[in-house]
Amino acid sequence: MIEATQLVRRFVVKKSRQFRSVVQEEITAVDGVNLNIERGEIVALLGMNGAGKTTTIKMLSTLLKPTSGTIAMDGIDVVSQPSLARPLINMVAGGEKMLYWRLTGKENLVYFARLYGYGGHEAAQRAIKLLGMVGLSEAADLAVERYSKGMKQRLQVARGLINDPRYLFLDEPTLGLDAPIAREIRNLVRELAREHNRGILLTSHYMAEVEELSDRIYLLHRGRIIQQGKPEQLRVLSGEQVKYNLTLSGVNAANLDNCFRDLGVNGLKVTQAEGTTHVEFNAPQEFPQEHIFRAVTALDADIVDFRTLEPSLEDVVVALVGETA
Amino acid sequence: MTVFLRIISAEMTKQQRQLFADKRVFFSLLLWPLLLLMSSYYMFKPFSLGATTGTGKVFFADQHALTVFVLTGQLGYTFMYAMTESAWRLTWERWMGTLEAIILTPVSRLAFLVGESLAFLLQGVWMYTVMFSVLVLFSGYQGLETVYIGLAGLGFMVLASISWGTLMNSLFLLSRDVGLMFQLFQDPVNFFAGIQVPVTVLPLLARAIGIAIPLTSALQMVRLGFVTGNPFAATTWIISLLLSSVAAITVGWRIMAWAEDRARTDGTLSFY
Amino acid sequence: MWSTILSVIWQRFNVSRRAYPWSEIGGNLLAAVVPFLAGWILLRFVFGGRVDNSFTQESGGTNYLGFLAIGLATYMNMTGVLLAVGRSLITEQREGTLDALFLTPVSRIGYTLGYTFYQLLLQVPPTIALFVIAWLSGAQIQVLAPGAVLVNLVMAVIGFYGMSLVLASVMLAIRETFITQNTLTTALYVFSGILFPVGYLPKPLRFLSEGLPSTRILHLLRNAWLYGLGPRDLPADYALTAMVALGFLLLGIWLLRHVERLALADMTW
Repeated sequence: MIEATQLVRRFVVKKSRQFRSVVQEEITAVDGVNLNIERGEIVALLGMNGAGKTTTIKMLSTLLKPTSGTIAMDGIDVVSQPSLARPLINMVAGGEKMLYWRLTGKENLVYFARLYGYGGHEAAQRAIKLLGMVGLSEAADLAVERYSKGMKQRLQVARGLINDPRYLFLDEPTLGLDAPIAREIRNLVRELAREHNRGILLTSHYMAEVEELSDRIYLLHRGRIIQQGKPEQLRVLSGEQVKYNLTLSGVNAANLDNCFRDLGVNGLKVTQAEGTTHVEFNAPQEFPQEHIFRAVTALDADIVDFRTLEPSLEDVVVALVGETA
Repeated sequence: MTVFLRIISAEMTKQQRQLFADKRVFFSLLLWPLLLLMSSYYMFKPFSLGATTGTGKVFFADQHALTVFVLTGQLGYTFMYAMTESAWRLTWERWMGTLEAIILTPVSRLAFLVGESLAFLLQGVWMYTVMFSVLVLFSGYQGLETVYIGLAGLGFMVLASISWGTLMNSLFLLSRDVGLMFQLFQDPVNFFAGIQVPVTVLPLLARAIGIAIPLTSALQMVRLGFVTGNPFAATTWIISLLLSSVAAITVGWRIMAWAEDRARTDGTLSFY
Repeated sequence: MWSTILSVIWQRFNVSRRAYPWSEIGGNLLAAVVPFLAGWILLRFVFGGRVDNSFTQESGGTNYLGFLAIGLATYMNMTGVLLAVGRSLITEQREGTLDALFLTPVSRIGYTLGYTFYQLLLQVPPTIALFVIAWLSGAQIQVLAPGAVLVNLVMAVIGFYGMSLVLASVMLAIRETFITQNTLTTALYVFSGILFPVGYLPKPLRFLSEGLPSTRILHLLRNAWLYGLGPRDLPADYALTAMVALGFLLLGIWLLRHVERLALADMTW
């Protein structure tokens, strides 16, 4: 397990005044973050731009030293002994850096494998296997400068797996990728956690991706964790409501109004068209649906169509961040 | 040892593909030293040989001595430049983002520094071999003795270069202003190392600075070898070569650790 | 065009000030002062303060230190302009902003002139510093024909700018800086007569040397500065030098336009 306790990271930035003195300002990018990641689970770190997600990941991956706080990884003190932690982790960042453009995909992977201590033959074997895993076997001997953006990102994922890490940090891994390739990467991430017992920390701006993959979410805002929990727990905590959309037949509209108001729902909207009645309203997450069926039965009406729209994670995040702001 | 050799091998492959795969670069590596040689040789043309004074006069007694002086200086410059260049190239890795990827690995920092230098040096091994062969032939082949002097000279240069390269790689990681670092460790170091002016002619303070540079001692030993026939004539130069090499590697290694720690503290691993 | 030039100067100034505070001034100064000191030490402490008759014949005098100082100052300014302008476009290409630049209607000449003028401004302090050091070392560096020196400086700006456009185009076309930077600047060092009169070079190489604007400009600059010889004394030389400088300028402009078309057509860039 990775356990980060009271992580703080401050930066000193210089602000220039034209021809005049430079002013130094201290900014706190991460302010007392506590989080943990178990092996076999996917944890998401969400937040607006500038919330501190990348800074947090860099601290966990030993690229950045925390100003204060501790990080323990399977008994290793990551802050004071980063060299012991490095064989166990890896990081994949979005974008086109961290690769040698004039080397081929395979040469890149072999190089990094050797830095991790793999011998020539073993390094080559690992490279070939990983290239197959990310669907780049046919492009193995092509220089990276000829790769498309999606190919470079897949190669990044392969590089992130080169040392078979226990914990993997993925910073926007599907940024700017086509839908089919992004889906492949998500499937790979899921497989790594479920079947290979890797602990994964993921940041992403794609809420659907986070919703699909993550077991738990930490919501970061201005360097602090403002909420955490499973996606469904966050929905409840956000107070966002579920939208209901019913189509009924054989009902008296006048009776409808009173009936649903008694249930305590909000924003009731009733429209009639071609012999049917459409009812729309919002209700809290924990609203028991059997009340709706009892109400419809009491009205002696038939349900033609019944739909619900759960609040999206995006709605949840915006609501929670908005509250904090 | 195996891990160390793996790292060197990995660095060589990477550099060969990333930096030297272009055939035009090889052509340049041949042409450029020739141009430098011309510059060094013709620089002495405004002066009258034989009319020399002071401690360096053995190198300017006649055309032959001057040519050996210039050729050895050129050799020294080439080795030196290779190491400064290797360090400069390392800073590209910061810009490309690959430095972060390397720092992320558990690779031994000392092995990485030495591996970078040695790999870069080995890229030009054919060039150094040609230059040493020219030197051996020009100085008058006198049997195997001359070859031994040549091989010994090559050994001194390689040792001096690796140790200097280790220090350069680490120093360049410290500063974002690599342009100044490059200039600081280019012409001034060439001056103090006695590339164009014999180190024995320099003022005392300049000579002291020169002796701290491993190349100075290696170059002096090579020159003495080809002019007097015995590179080991002066034990002081052997001692200073060994001491300065050990110092350069040790300081370089510690600076790398400090530079990495500072980059992790300031968050500047990926800035350029 | 003037707004482009000023914008580029401002942008370069801010980048240097924030990221590379000392390299551009300090680095160039070192590259000039160190060879000067080497020459001074050789003259004073190895060769007894005397030069060979061949130097007097080839350079027109015995003022070795003055010869050296002017040569190194010219080299400093020339390589400053060449490398700054030469690298400008390939740096944009490597940073991924070249397409964005080429898509704008910004004047390419204005853009590259901005780099040129910025470099020339930047070289003023180290050039002055070099001459101060030369003067303190006992070099005779009084300007004997200021008007002629000024004419030479104008030709130098045109010639160096033209050379830099040619270099920028070549660097962008072959996508390589290593070769051009090292080999070319060293070639200019040798063939422009920076440290020694080009008359020392073998005949076939002298022909190459005479074809460079830098060689001709430096020769005329030294004659004007140290020996007071101006256009009236060497009219043919001045005319030919002006033609060579303009020739390089026109070639550079044409090459740049051509390479830009290739760059925009090549999708892999």
